[in-house]
Amino acid sequence: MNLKNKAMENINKFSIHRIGYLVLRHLKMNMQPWLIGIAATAGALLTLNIMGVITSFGSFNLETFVRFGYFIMFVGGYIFTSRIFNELQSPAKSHFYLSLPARPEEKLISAWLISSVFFLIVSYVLISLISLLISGVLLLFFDGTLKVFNPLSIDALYIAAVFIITNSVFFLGSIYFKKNNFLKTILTVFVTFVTIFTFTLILILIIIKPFQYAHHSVGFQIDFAEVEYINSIISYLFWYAMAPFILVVSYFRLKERQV
Amino acid sequence: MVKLENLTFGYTKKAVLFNDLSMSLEAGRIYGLFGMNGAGKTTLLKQIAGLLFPLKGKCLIFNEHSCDRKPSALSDIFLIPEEFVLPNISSKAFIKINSPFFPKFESIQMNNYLEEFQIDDEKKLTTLSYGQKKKFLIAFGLATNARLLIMDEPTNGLDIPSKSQFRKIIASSATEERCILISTHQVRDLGNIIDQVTILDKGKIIFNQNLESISQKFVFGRIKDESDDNVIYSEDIMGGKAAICLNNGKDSEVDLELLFNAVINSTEKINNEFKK
Repeated sequence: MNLKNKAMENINKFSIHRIGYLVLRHLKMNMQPWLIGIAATAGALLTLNIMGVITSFGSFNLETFVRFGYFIMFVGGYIFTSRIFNELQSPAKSHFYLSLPARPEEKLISAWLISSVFFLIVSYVLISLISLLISGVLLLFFDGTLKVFNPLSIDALYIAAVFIITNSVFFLGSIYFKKNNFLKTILTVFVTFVTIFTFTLILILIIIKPFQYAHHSVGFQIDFAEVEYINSIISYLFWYAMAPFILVVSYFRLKERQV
Repeated sequence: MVKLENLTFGYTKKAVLFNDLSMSLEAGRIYGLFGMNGAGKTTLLKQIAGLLFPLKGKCLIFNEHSCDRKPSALSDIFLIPEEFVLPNISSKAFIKINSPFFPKFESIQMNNYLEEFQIDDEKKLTTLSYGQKKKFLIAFGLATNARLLIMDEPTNGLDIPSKSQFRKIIASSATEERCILISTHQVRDLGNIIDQVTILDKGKIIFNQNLESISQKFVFGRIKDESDDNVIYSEDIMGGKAAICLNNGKDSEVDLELLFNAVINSTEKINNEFKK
């Protein structure tokens, strides 16, 4: 095998460098609208909270502020993630993205890093800075203690994990749908939940309960131990299986994507 | 370099565009892919570039399935589509963020092309005119040194000086290793740079000959009447008839527009001449 063929063989291997280039490419191409989005969100958060502080005569409730921050982060994050593959959604741009010499998993990882990890870090930094700013200003003019959001607290880390897991649904939606990704993902999630709920209910009512009734004659009552068991399965699926499964589906969807 | 084997494709399974299409493209040649609107030229280019997948059959690029989209193959293919949107960044930034993906990319070459096309690399790409954007993308595609360069209507939107610049640059960038596939219906724009004429009609390759054998077989010119037995095809033009006649030792420049019309209207007659 000559050097040229060897170099070409290496090109096909998974490359961390290429992921770095893809992340940089993504950031550079979208930096302007993202900065505007960050500035607008920070401005809105700051204004609303300052108004809240003024109307409540100088009292700042960090918990309420953080909850509001989380709400903005979740909604903003889902919308942001729905547009992470915006190049794929436009026929006039998708040819370049699809023919960019990189493996599909590299494209997937780079987009996931930006939409989940990068977005989460920026959001937490923003919430911390704004809480510091409001709290600092209040400390200057009123008595009190400095109340700052701690992004490394157990609560914050729990919320971060929930965000990353649920965000994966919108990540798949951004690859799967060609238009109106955010709205179509919400609709799909709703339909999926209703279907699963209905299916489970039917399963319980038709199969499990009559069986139980016939054997124990205890009437039609909910067995809480059974519900607990189902809950633990759902919890396990949510924390450990959902995001990896959705990312694998996203990978195949991206690999099979055509213009 | 490119091998299409019994390729079948349709945007839906019922409406098949290509049925059992086979063809091959070799390195060191510039192919002109011609066809009427809706003939499937753009779809064929997208198949070759791995942007569309065949329903049946194979599309092999450098002996790899194009639909696998392996980085080694993608770094050796560059497609310049007819319709495209460039990001709102400067030419310089575009080069900086995209060139690392193409191992054979040459910055010096890129700068030379930009200079030739008179494109300011500090300007934002969205502020450039359509023609300038197209020239930028052509320059980038050439600078990647991809072995397979695919262009869909590259001269659309180019002004007259740019068209001759384009021809000059394409002619100078053609190497023994490189295959250039140009799809167009503006046949006059490419007249003297292509060396293989491929005509696509209703999802089939109805004509595929090199320019040399065409000029050996036929002579292109004007006639007054069609009584001559040597006339293969003729059509009315201002002040007479343009005709394709059997060559009896004369030299003439291939009139691609006339050839295209002849192939579309008398496919069998034209192809039969090459079987003799």
